[in-house]
Amino acid sequence: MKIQSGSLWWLMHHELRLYFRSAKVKATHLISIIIALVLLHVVAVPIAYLLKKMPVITPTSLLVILTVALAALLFLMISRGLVTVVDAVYTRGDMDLLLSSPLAPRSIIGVRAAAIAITLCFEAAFLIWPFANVFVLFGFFGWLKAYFVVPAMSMLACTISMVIGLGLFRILGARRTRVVAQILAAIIGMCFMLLGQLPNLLNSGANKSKLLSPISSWSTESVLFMPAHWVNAGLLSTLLLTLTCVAFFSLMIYLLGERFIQASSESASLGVAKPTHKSTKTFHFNTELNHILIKKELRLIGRDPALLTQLLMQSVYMLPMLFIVWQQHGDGLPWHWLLIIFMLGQTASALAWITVAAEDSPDLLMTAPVSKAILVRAKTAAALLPLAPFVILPCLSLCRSYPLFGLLITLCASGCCIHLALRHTHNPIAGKRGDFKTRYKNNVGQSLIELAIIIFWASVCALLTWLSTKY
Amino acid sequence: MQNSHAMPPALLVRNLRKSFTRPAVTGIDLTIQAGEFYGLLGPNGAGKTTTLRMIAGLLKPDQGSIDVFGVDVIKDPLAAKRLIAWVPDEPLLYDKLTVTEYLEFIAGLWQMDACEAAKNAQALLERLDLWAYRDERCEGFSRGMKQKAALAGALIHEPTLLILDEPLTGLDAAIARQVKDLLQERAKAGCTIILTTHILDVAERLVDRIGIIQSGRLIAEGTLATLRQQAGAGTSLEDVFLNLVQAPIAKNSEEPV
Repeated sequence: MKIQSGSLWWLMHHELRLYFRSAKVKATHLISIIIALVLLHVVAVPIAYLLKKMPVITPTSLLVILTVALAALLFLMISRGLVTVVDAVYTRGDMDLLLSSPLAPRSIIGVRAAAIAITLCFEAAFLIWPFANVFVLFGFFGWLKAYFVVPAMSMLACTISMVIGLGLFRILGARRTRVVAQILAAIIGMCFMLLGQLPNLLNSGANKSKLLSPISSWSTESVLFMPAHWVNAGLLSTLLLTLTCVAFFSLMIYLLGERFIQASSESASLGVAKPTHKSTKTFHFNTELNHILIKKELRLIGRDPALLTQLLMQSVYMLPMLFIVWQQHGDGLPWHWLLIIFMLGQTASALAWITVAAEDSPDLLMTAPVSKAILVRAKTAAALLPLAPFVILPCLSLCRSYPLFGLLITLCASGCCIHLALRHTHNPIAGKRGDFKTRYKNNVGQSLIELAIIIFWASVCALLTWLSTKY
Repeated sequence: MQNSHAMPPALLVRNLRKSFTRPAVTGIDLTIQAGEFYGLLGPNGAGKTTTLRMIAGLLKPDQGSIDVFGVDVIKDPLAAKRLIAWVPDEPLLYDKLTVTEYLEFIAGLWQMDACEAAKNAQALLERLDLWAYRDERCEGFSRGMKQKAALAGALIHEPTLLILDEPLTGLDAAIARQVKDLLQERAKAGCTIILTTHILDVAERLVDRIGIIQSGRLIAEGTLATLRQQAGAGTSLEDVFLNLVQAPIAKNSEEPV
């Protein structure tokens, strides 16, 4: 069927094509996606079987679980939505083209928002619907509601993301909006990760009662549980929830559409530098070579919030492991501190890649009368310096109770960081800072070697600690 | 430049050769005297940028020698680099640094005295109308402002040999004029300048001597008057250029480009 040019469907097709192309969904990826979907269905089977065997939970517990799940889903979607909204409305740069066309501006914004909601829905559905499919087959028909709840939540998340994006734009301007949106998204993502650790925290009886006591005192009639009630009550109330989200979404486009258009047009001209009218200060340069080399690298890292948030997220993803190790130790030694070797090692490697391999202006450095060895040394130092306080942290924290363990962790973490940083100086994988997340995409072996190095240093530390306790 | 035969030439290139998947530079000889303003012209893919990158020490030649003021670029690259500044056609600035920080960084790389560097930076920023933008990060700069910032970076350490690859491409008339004026000032002050350009009018007005490069070799060299004689063509450099460049194409169409 041929879609009529300029129609809403045609515009939606264009938006989704842009999304899939930016996500680089190629034929090979499509096969991976299908395999992942099949695997998720397979994983869902034993879970469904276990659910079937489990005793029926109380309505209050069900409401709490539903509320937490809905909140987690919403937070995750907002975290993704915020970055997508800022990119699609303020930074992609094609709004000028679309708005200069004879299409109705409100339709353009409406379709773009709908496309964002659809992409959010795709991403969440990918993880949730395979489980829903299997659970329904096992007789949990309530899971049919997932086919309404996920699109509804994606529309709500898109609405909230767009409103936050617009608010940030009005308060902070275009350039800062992007930065703050990325930081906010990272913080929301971090909260989601921490929320995911609730089961680990609840393993201990004391923690469980501490955490659940305020929740158990809440009335089930509380407004907080209203969405959970709607989802739980029946298909009609779920449909009502879906319709409410659609209404919010439509209302947002109707009421704020013009403002989005205005903000988008303004953002096109806001990135340009403007003259500053500060006092005519004179310069005080410091041209000591090592000083300026290190300062330049630290400035470039410190002023790149996108990079910082990605670095932060990389560490946040280690948190589940931390919680698991925290729960496991039974011999008196705080083994969870070993995880700092993983966190610092990963961060050191990432920073070394940024400073050594992702140099923005290699030609400038190559034409400078400075030897390569000096440049590499300074860049490695710049990568490791920010980690120094964290390396001595275990030593300081453990010096009273476990001084030897603290010292060993500090030494092994230092060794791990230096080892990984030197790998980048001897075997750099050139790239651009913007490609930080995908730096090992075509080089999976490198990330495996990196992991092996980290495991090696953590094992050395564990072994030496164990030996010291034995002898 | 005319009175400099007692001292070594600013640039002495002999039998320079470089191949990638196919030959890019196939035996260039070039002598540029100190204080000379030299223009290197040629069609796209002729080997201009490759030649300049080898002179700037960014590429290692397969064969041949390059001396800058008597210093061998291949044997003693650090000493040679102290004398050279290189401005590529697409200046890659550090987006997250302000223009002042960028200049401070370059001054540090060339190990300049801090006070002298600050003085030069201020003078250059004022000269290039970037003073008001001194605390702005380069990410917000236009193409012209970036080119001016790169030029300020190249000039801050007062190089004796300035190499510019297409320095005026994409600049508006006002900024192009500023850049041209500054280059002429530096040339008058004794700095040797080599530039490549596609804007023949610029070469005609600015440079002392022109070298025309094609298929990786220098096919003609001299002042505009000499080239006119050589080509036997009309009055403009455009006529001369097209005459010189198209003749070898017709003769040697089988040669690698």
